[in-house]
Amino acid sequence: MTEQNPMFENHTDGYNHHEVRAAVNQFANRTPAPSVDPSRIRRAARRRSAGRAGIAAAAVALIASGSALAWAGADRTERPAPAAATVASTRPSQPALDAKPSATTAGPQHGSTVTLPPLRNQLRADAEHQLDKLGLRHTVSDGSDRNVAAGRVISSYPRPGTAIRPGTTIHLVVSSRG
Amino acid sequence: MEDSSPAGFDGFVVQHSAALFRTAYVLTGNQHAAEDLLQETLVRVCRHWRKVRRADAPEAYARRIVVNLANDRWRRLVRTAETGDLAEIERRPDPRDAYGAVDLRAELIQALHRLPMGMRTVVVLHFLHDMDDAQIAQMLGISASAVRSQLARGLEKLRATLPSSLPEGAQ
Repeated sequence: MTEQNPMFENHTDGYNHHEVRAAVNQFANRTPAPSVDPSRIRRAARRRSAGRAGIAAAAVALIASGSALAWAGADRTERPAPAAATVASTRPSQPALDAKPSATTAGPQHGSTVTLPPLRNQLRADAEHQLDKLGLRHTVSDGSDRNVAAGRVISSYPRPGTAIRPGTTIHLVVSSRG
Repeated sequence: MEDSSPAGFDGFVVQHSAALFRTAYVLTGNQHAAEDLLQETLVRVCRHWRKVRRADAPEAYARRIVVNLANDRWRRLVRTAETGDLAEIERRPDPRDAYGAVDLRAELIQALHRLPMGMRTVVVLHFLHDMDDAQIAQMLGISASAVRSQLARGLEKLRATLPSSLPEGAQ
């Protein structure tokens, strides 16, 4: 790690390291990640592939260099407020991100699904037990949240209320400090 | 063209989206930009899934895309002198915090988003992802010594935002 590098260490001190690390992680925890529907991502990727294949070489070059812009037309439209950013159906390109998915919008389309329960502030073992009962797998990573005691769940991904298929892997962030 | 193994890619999305979003969010300081970056990254990962799956570390591959996209975006912003980003970083002082640590962190984050993107990227990869200088160097395609100097200079700038009366080291 960089901390072991003497040259680097000379420039800083432990306090800065700790404070910057805490600030960055706290900022990262402030906004929960959106729920992503992989099938929509796959459709978007297929659309783009198909678009490229069907167009003449010059146009392909244009798309390649302007892919960010092309995307911008579809998805960088101004969104008035965070709360309104979730109206997936009104956005032209069917974006794969729903900031606020629910069983009704995500829609259990593929047979049986389960709804992810709220897990925040539960003991890690309790949360894991619940996921086991629902037939869900999980991974755990460390996080920190001033409002969540060590060993308790800060957030889950996908988020609570999301309809998911059994066997899906849920990503838990568990508080690592008290 | 069927270039993705749906199960594998779906698993990747489920498992890594949150971490990729965190990277994008801390790099840009902007939730909408981070959502767009995440989506664009995942689309690119999907299109190159066969290659990504074979990579030693698929998540690192995707993270590099996030970093590159954040860079592209920053260049566009600089070019158009658009500076709306900082507006989104509201201060939310927590009344329970008697020691002003929350304010201090808000200051640090604002300072972070004033750093040039290259420097900011190094700081974020180091402090958010605990990557060491060799790993960062490999991801960004620069030398380890460049990483160290960027990190040191970035921290110098961040340190300049700390109140001078603040005792360093011990409490």
